Amino acid sequence: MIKLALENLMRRKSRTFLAMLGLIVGVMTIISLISITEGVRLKVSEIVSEVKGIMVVEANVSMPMLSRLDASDDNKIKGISGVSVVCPRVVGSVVLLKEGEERKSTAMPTTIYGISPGVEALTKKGLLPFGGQLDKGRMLTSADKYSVIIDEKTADDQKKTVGSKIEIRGEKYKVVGISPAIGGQGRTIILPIDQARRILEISSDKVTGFFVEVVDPSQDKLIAKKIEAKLGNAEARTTEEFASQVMGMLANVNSFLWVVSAIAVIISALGIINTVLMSVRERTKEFGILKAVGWSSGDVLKLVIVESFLIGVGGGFFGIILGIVLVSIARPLLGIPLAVTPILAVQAAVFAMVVGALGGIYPAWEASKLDPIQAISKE
Amino acid sequence: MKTPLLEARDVYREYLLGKTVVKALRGVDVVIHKGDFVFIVGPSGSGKSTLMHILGALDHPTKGSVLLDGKNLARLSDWQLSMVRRNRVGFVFQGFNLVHSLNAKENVMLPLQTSDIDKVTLEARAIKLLMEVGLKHRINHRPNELSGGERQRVATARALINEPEIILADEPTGELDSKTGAEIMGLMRTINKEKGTTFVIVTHDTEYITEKDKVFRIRDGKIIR
Ligand SMILES: Nc1ncnc2c1ncn2[C@@H]1O[C@H](COP(=O)(O)OP(=O)(O)OP(=O)(O)O)[C@@H](O)[C@H]1O
Ligand SMILES: [Mg+2]
Repeated sequence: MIKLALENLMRRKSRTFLAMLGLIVGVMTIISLISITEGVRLKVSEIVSEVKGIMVVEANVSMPMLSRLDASDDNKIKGISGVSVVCPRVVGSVVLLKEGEERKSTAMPTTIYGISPGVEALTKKGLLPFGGQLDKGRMLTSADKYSVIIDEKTADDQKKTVGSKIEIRGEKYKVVGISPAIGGQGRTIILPIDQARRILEISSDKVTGFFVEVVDPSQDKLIAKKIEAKLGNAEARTTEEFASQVMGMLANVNSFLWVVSAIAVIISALGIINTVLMSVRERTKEFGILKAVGWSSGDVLKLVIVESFLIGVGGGFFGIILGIVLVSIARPLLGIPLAVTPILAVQAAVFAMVVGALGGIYPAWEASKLDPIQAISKE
Repeated sequence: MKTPLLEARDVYREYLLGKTVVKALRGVDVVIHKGDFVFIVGPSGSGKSTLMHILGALDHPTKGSVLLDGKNLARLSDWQLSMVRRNRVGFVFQGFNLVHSLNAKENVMLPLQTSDIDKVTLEARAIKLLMEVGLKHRINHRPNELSGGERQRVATARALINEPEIILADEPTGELDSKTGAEIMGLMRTINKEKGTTFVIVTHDTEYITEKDKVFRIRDGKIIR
């Protein structure tokens, strides 16, 4: 029966492909979306587990880059008991041009992190504002002025390595270290806070925020409240809160994914029902003959469902392959360790087969109910 | 008296065409015994094919009954009827009714594709039958690559695949020249003699009919003497 069904499908390749198409697209979409959110979730929890502390930014700003706090708030925060280190930071973005390149609106912005190396070095995680280690070179020190750490993506883009000079807004800096790609896209430059202020045109008495480390991490929420109370115009979030906020967003994304998946199921099921039904109606005479020569209604039913099921198998297979391709294209673009897990692939395959078999039920029923003589006399 | 193998009792078959009723069969009585070689003759439109379909458990009479081994076919379930068609009856359709997408061999195998017979045996049997009807060189051809006469012979081979007790052949020589027609008719007579298979044959070619054969003459949906 399977062989016969397979032959029937192979004979009608374009029909079969059409029936599969909805399923392929559906499976591919679900697989890649789920893998990507899963990757983001892993990445966020990884960062959070490495960096424990409190981020302080101006209240009610949409982006950290737009936040402005007084540099002197530094002392106010230090005055709160339980605070161990306060790192003033400046964050912003610039568009770096490659040598000889014209300015383009599509160019990727580079994130600039301005830090005080001496203070950062006191934190548990050391110098990198987001934890982690350098690939090459060394950390910044308080003696550094025209020195920068760039990430590997920027290094690639600009063809720089440790010791190279890099030009930012007309000034030359020496690359002293190279970090892994950060926070997905990469394109980050870390440099002393004063230089960052100049580049980003932030006055010397301002910062975009503080990173605060506390003596006892279990007290961090309490201390965050105290910081907010003391500064008045600031919002203090523990990195965990920040992470749970991101996770909350991801949860929304997840329910959105369910909706997308449900739509994909419906569309692919309808696609299969429709094409299988059309193919059954085109083959009315054939089914009439089958019944006339001794096939039972059940045999005909089985044949059509097996055909439809095989469409599901094929759709699932190609959908998974395309999903994997899509994910591996997205991986370097997003800089997140994504992978289609075997469990996800199995789920997708089962889903496709079930949709295939279910989609075949109605057309199969129609084919099985045909009256042989009436069906045969149809041309 | 012996129970007839197949019997039609006062069979009516009416079709509703819009508002008019077409009376294809009007009280047909037919009795066929095991081993019979029966001809049904009659003018075009007289109801020959309609009767054959009803005798072959493919269609139901509007009124009257069809008995196989004395059992009323109307009492059988849809599934039992398909088992009758698969295991006991071989049917050669007037329009051949081959599946266009399948080649000659696959068409011949079709009735038993869903049975328990293993595919190798089935395939061998199909090839043997195709050779017997003279289509050794056409085994892998599709119906549209075959002549009318060749298609008719594929249809005949298909009716023989399940080694049925009764073969209903609706004009099995209609598309054949007299030589191949005589060959096919000869093949049927041989099977009838050797295996005792019962044949019911619709034909226009009265030259194939011999003294000993039973003949039903049908006109306007009625058997005439
Ligand atoms: N499905 C149908 N609907 C309406 N009328 C039908 C149908 N099938 C057959 N008829 C009518 O029933 C009558 C008998 O048809 P049938 O096919 O049995 O004739 P026949 O004796 O086989 O003719 P021929 O020798 O041309 O094959 C014809 O008048 C035909 O028009
Ligand atoms: Mg006819």
